[in-house]
Amino acid sequence: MITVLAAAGGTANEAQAWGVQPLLDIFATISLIIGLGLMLLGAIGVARFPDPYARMHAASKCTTLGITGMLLAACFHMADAVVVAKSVVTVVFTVVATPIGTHLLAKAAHHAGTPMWGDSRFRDLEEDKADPEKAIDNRLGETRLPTGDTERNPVPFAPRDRGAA
Amino acid sequence: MNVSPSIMLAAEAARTDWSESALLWTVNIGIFVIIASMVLCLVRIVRGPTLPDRGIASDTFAVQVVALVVLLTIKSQSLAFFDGVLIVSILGFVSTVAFAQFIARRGAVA
Repeated sequence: MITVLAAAGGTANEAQAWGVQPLLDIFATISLIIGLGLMLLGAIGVARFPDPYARMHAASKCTTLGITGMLLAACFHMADAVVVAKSVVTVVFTVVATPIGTHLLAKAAHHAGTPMWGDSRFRDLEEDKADPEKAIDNRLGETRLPTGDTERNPVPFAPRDRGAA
Repeated sequence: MNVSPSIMLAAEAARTDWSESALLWTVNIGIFVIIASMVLCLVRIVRGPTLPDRGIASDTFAVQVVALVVLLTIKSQSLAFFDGVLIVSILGFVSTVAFAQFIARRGAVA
């Protein structure tokens, strides 16, 4: 078997000697086309969308899936343990890190007062900043259970007071 | 294992199959696709009215550099560039976090 592998080509792996390489290349081509299309769509979204939040929406998702498809193509083409391991590490890192970075950018931009697009509907931060008392009341009204007297009949799932603990 | 030379020739011919040439054509076209995407992100970096626009465009630009390295690895059939994939993606994430901290301290004015 070793002589066959050596005769089939200098850098040949087992897939080439077994004749699976054309199928792997077809899979690689398909995933590469999907990844390239997603990358191009993300770039078009970054260039064309109206405000920074919509651009982040386009950029983060499209680049995550696009780089996943392209690394999948590399794994299919070079069926090698080193390539698969590095690709898995890179994909896991990208899937974890891209939403975190985009969330940090969106939070910083939103608190710094970056203007939204004109047709945006929900402006909760502006309403909360305009009336802080009402915002606190809304938040407590969501978490407190609707029972009457909390001293005689304590709420079983009331939000715990952090200072008392 | 006793293998006749015809099987060896078939295995040799399978290496330059139409599927591999299709993959290499896709890689050659994909380099231009990624370059077009990079040009679009550079347009957004130059034109971006606020600072988060430039941040998100540079983040996307880093991911496209990663994609270009992957295409170069497939094209050149060598693993010498493949370590750069993880390194460039880590650098892109760190630069995005630094950009977000900068915006949070300075404000989003261009």
